[in-house]
Amino acid sequence: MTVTVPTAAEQKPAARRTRGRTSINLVVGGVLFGVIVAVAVLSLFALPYEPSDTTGGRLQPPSGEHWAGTDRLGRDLFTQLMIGARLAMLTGLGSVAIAAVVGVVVGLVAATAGRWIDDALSSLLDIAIAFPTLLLAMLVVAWRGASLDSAILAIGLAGSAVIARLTRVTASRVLAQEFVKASRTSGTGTLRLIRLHVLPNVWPTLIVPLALQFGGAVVAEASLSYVGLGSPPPNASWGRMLQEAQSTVLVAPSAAILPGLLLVATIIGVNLLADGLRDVADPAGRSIR
Amino acid sequence: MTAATPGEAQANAAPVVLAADRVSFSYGRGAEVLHDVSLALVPGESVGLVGESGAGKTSLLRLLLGLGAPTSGEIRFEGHALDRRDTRSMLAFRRAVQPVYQDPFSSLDPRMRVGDSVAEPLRSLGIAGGRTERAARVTELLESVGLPADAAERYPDAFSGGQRQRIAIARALAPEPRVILADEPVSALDTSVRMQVIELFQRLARERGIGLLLVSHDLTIVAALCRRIAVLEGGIIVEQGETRSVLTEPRHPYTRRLLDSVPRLP
Repeated sequence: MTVTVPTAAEQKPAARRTRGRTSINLVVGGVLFGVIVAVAVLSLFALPYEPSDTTGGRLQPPSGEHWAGTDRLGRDLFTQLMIGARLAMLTGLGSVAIAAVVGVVVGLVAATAGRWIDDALSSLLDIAIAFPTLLLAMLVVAWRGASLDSAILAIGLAGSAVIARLTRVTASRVLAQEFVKASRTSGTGTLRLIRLHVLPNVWPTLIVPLALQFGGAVVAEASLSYVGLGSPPPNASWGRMLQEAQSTVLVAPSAAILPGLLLVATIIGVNLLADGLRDVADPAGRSIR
Repeated sequence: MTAATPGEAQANAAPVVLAADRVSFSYGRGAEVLHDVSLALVPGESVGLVGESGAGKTSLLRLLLGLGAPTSGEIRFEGHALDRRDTRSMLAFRRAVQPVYQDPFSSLDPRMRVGDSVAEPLRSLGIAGGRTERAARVTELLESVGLPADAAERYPDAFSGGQRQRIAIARALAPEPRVILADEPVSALDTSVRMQVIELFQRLARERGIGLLLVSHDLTIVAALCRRIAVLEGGIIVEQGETRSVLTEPRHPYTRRLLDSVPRLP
């Protein structure tokens, strides 16, 4: 699904209506999230140390040379945190993309197809929603082996069920509107009608849940890495850093605190951003209610 | 619209564009909502379809718009039975037959610019080719219903109910239809703007020679706009004829009751 955020010019009337609280959400969320994204991007081009460089001495506290200290193998923790940011963003983007595409397609099929298919898909979705993400992840890992891709696929599929149900409900409500009938009598075919009228009216209700799923996906990947089902070494995801720091938490607390803080900052940032986005997505309250 | 049956209508000079020929309809296995209904529409003539809610007005309109198929009888377009699976003839049908819906707040997509809504029939029916050509046509259409050209750039929420109904009328006019089917087009509007929209319909029908089927439960509006009138009750057309004669000498008891229920100004 392509999500087009209206340009600034289109938002003029909306800006007047935006309340102060909203813009604070958007700014704080944007800054928190922006910093993490910047770090993730930076990690592609420059890292203070090689990820496998073990010359730093074991379990050093933060210092001028090692800003976040070192782990028990003598690797630079700041480097690992930067790589972790990149993995977190990849996980979020990848699983949200999977959830959005699979969810919207399934939801639209359920909403537009006949009663029989709709009932069958809805029952399947109820089962899928009740299915624990971790269990699904284990199945995917058993099938494809532990990797970041497996984790992203599992998290994305788990999230797609909720998006599909939401899409189905919202799309049926949009399809019942008179402008859909007007579009039909204007000679518009079903696929074009979905693109012209249904998707633009559905996506504002999806953008917030999708943004929230981004945060959820980062946490889920951390949990999977923590139990060893996420990205394997030497890729340092925040979850794996937490797991590795666990045994030495009393000696070197920063190794556990820092990835934890970054996780929290990412989730808060993305959730605040989601709140702010809601008003961008629906500037003048044009949603079908 | 001419006489009671399409057959008689065809005998006259003006060709029948759209007709219901002994149409019956029921939803699923439910009771019939339309029974043996015949109605014909001719360019340049306005027909009023009156009846209380539940009389089958909206169902008849759905069939006439090709949004459903009758359980028996047929919808005839230019003398041929309408085949909803025949894409080519449906294209010609959609160009010739356009609707105006009841609620202007839900008949325009809140997320589509007004210009795009008006241009939708042009694009979907493959009428005006280029972007500039289409934009010029949209401007012209908006002006013909009394809206400024810059309305095209705005969203429906910038307009009042009456203005939205004008936009919906502009959209219906886009493919230059020969018949417009209007389902209670003013019942959702304020009394003060009702007459303006009615006059717009009147003017358009006169200037462009468009046949109009006006569905309404409001006899005063029908009397103002339509030369002929058909009265629907319980899925059956109980009376049909010149508006003046139907309103002054109603033959069917139902029509009399309908007339008595109209509030009169002292």
